[in-house]
Amino acid sequence: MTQQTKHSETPMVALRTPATVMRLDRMGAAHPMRLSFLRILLRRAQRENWQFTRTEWNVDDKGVGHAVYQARGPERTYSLIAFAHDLPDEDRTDRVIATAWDATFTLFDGIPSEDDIHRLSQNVPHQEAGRISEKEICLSRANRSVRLFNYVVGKLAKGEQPDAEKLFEVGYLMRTTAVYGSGKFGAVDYSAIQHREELQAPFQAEMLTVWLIRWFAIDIVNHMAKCAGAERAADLDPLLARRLGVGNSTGLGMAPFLVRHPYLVDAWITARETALARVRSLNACGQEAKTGFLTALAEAIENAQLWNTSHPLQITRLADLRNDLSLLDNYVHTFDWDTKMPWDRLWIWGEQHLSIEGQEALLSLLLEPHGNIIDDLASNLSSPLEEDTKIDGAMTVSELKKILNEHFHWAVSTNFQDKGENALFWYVSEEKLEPRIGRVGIDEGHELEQPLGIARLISNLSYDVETWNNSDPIAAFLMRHPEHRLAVKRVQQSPLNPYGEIQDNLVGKDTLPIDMMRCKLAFFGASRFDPRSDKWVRISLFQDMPFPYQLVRE
Amino acid sequence: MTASLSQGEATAMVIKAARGFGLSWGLAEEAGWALCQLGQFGDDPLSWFDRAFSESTENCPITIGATVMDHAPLVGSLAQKGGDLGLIRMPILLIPFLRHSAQLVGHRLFLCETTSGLRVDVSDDLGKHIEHLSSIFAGHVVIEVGAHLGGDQPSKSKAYRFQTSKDTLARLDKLGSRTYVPETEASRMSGAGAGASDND
Repeated sequence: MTQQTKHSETPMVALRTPATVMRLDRMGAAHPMRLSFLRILLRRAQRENWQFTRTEWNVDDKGVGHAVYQARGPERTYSLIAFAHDLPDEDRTDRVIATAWDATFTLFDGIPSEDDIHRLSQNVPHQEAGRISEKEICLSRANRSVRLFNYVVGKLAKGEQPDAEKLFEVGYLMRTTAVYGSGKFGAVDYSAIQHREELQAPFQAEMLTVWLIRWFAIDIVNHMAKCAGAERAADLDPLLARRLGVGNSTGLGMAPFLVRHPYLVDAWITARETALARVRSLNACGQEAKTGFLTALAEAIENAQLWNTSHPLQITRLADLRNDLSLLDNYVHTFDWDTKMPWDRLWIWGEQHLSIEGQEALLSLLLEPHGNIIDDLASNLSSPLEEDTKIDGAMTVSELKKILNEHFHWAVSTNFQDKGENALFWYVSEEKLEPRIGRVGIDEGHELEQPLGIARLISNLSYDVETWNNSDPIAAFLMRHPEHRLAVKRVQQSPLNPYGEIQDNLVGKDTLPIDMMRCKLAFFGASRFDPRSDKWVRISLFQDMPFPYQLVRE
Repeated sequence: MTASLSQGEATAMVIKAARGFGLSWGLAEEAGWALCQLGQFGDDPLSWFDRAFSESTENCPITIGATVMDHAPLVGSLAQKGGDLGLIRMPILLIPFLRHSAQLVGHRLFLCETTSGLRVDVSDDLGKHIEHLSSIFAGHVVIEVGAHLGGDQPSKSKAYRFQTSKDTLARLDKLGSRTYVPETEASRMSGAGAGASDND
């Protein structure tokens, strides 16, 4: 089935189908790209000439205190309030069970007063155990990299620069372990601020928070070095600093998001696929675009070399990527750029010769030099409030079955009599109120399963609806079967949101939650995807990108 | 003692409580949607859900409200002809479903509580009726059909803050906790990140 683009566009080249792109293995090969959320933020800040200032630095010799960073846009100012702590090494953990961190943060809506900072100093350091208010947008925390932070402090204190190779091997000085937004722990709801132009693209406040944290990470390492080395101490070389991002450690909490927000996921994927179709549809390739593509390819090759991972699956994928990029590099140097629709030719070659890793990397590379024809899609990445979509009770059973046949073959055809297809269950842990995955028949709590096994929910719905008359209204079916309400809603939504469903069984034995995480993190703009298990990953954000204070000079 | 919750927090709390109370996940989400709609009336909507979720799932305003709303577009439905809904617990929670039904069928609907004689146009500004409506723990509800609704557009959800007592929060939390799975040593060891060093 060919997907039509939204907003009345009809590119010559069809969008890839949901059956192709909404599979876990391909989602788990996603790469950051021009339409990634942090890139959207950087472009806006640059375009609108945002001003960034560190307005307060009140941190003592032990690294304890607070700092304030302001981001001033054309209409509003946002402030990151950072609380620096002296955390013993033995208390440091990235897991959600942690109760203390090296630094804690909140993004304040406006310019905080002394009273605000005092109030926040009583709450932000406690994270989930504290409360913030509707004046705050995000809540976050970060830990120092044990591998790097003290090493860099030691070098700088002696007036020396750290070894570049060692620096890049880790890639960050601090690693966030959560960035909460959208009403969490008392913060303002996203729906209350999403009308603001600068926050309309997804997760812009969260990206701004992390970007400012990256600045703080450099400041705190320089500060600690000065405290240790006094006059001898050097600041970290800005060129080295630029190669450092902010690490992020993410567990299962992120994975269900993609299941719970089909409208939003559809908007993201539609925008990306529309961008690809636009580029592929170009009749010719200008010199500037060709140069931009080759530059991006060279950077991708270097990035793949610097990308470290110890997870067996990712090691294989990384090997595929390196091999693919090498193949691509060879191919483009003999490629006839004057051919008609060159980008489409390149893409088709990629589909025939590259692994999924390489294909998805090629997608990012194709988008990179084409901002002039795709950057406007950033405004299509949001979705209407999903909660406002109601059941169509007048839909007949026959119409529902038709949608099931056309859109849910992947779910209905799964054999749930097979134990392997019912191997896992998603639940919420009482201890930390976070999503977890249990093994059916081994772990306790299957009866308290969360409704994330969409394929099975749809399959059960299909089974029960089969015995109803085609002319019966869904309202009557739901009165008898309220347990299918969630599935009916998803089925009714799906024709309008063709990319809204992950077309795999998320409770099957082979499900890898990290595939969902990588897809979401790639949309954030994350690089250096490094799974530490099949449920927990580390990534880097803003690596090799300008710092806020460097932006206007570019 | 009162607490101030974001709409996201309050919604999540009501959805979990509804599920813990015994509603299906789909109906629990309807409860969350209903809370957001009720936020515009101020007062303490969380306490209304707390009271509604206090006994059995019979006469549940969420189940009945959703059913009325689902049937609204069907010829001869209660939203089109009016009729007797019988005994409903916390009938104020029917309001969002009846408002949406009125928009679907294009005419006004009146929620009538026979014992107290209360008659409320659900599409109207309900401010003056909220105190009375919220005081009815269980009422016999009849729906009456009124005049054409005009060109009103469905109202969009906005973000509201929710103030409620710590006691209400504690009870809703307790219901919601029925959806949680207690950790065991085995589940702790198989959790994300367990057994691996992350302090590097």
